[in-house]
Amino acid sequence: MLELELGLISLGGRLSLVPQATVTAVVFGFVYALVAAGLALIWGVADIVNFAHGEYMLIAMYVTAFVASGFGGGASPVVLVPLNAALLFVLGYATYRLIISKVMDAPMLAQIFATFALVLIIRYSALFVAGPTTVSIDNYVFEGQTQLAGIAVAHPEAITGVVSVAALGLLFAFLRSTRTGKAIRATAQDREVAQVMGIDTDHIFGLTWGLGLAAVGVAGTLVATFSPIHPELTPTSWTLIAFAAVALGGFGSVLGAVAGGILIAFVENLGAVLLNPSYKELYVFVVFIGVLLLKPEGVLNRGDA
Amino acid sequence: MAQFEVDDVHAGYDDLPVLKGVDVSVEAGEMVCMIGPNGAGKSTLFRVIYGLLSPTSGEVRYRNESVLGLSQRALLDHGIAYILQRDAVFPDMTIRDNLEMGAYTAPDGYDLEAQIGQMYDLFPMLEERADQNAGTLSGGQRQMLEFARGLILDPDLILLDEPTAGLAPKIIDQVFGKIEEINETGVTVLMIEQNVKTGLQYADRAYVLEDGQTRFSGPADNILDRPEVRDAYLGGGTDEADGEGGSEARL
Repeated sequence: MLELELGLISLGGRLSLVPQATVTAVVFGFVYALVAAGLALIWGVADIVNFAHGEYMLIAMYVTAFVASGFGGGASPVVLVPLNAALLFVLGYATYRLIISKVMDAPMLAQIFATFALVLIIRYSALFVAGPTTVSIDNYVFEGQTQLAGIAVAHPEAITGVVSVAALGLLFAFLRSTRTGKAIRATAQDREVAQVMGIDTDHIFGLTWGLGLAAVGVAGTLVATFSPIHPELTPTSWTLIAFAAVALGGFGSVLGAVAGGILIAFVENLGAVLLNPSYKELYVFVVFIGVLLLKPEGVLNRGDA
Repeated sequence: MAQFEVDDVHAGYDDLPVLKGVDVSVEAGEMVCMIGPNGAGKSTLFRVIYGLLSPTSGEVRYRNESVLGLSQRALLDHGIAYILQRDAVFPDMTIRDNLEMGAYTAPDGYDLEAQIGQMYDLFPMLEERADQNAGTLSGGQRQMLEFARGLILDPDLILLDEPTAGLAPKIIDQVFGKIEEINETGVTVLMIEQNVKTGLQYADRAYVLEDGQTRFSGPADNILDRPEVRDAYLGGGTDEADGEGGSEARL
């Protein structure tokens, strides 16, 4: 009897945490969505899996930490978001031109090795430059939190959510409405037909890498304002999240990846408060495997970039 | 002087020769039909002409100038368009966006809206469904979209790859009606056609390709009277690796 009562109290206690967890899930859902959208775009258009996705995010995070540490006069991340987006865009375009374009028509294994080599190069360059310790940005520009109906919203996270949504909106508007965006979608749907239309598909693939990594540049800048940076754990966990989101959303579908990212954040955060916070990543991968078994084409597969 | 010439082209895939000496010559304003059994190399020839496959030898000339090895953009700038089969539309893009992609290489001063309007005049069905995804269209409608997308830059020569493949007989006549209409505006047409009888009925001249070589050529209305053409054609029809679809030779 006593045990049952305790169980009920405990459940009630946990339920009271649900609104807070939901807010956190929304915020993280959008940033997961942004990172996953970048991966899905590259995957869907260039038909290549970028295993170094998290490593590129690491670059943006280190740049942010570097600037926040006072080197750049403590520049605001508001300035850093477009700057890192531009930096990562250039890195993405260059990565395609210098490395990926050489393996575009190679066997898949060669492509996997190429992006895996990028993982090692970026990760260990980061270790070399920044050292093996965890870097945290303390007392950065966005401090404090706001109470909304009893739910605490930390400012860095709130800004992360809002800017991630804005970045996703921009990405979609670009793909939907601009001539170049349409050419990217056309190339994703049929590379050879796009070529027949006179579209320089090699340039399009470069742009796609640039855009996919610019998304990661935005996300990395934002996440660095509240999350510690570790040269190995950080990129690994973000690559895994992005992969799970892309797989959930149907491989290569940008919209699906967005849905996948949001779903993952909800499973993670609600699982943490309702079950056990220690296993929150486990819940994500249980759902992930479940979806692969039941609906392997993804929760929202449209086959559209 | 012919407007367009293919001169002794040899090409293939991975040591498998497909084209073993093809010669084609097309006059300005003509409608020329290429027939031949599956695997004869008709589609491969178009891929070579359009820079999607490098030939091992031979020459392709347009207005007496070599166009071999040019980019697709350069070919479009020359006024040569390649109109693919109906499955080549971008299924997850709207009809309008498909047309806009057809005009991707348009020069400065090109009036996209006016050109799209012209295509809608030519194919009214496309305007009614402008905001619909191309994947929702029927086979015949997709073929019309293919035409519009290929014609939007006002080409002088169109390469038509099996415009009626897989279409119902009633639709086939409509499609040929459109091709004739396009040809009458002065556009030169070089087409591959599986519906031999219908194709020859509309064409001025025909080439018979067999085993990667030009076997016969002549006026379209009497080429089937030649017994050797009839034999050559009926002798084919086997599936070879050329991506030319089912054997629909109708004789």
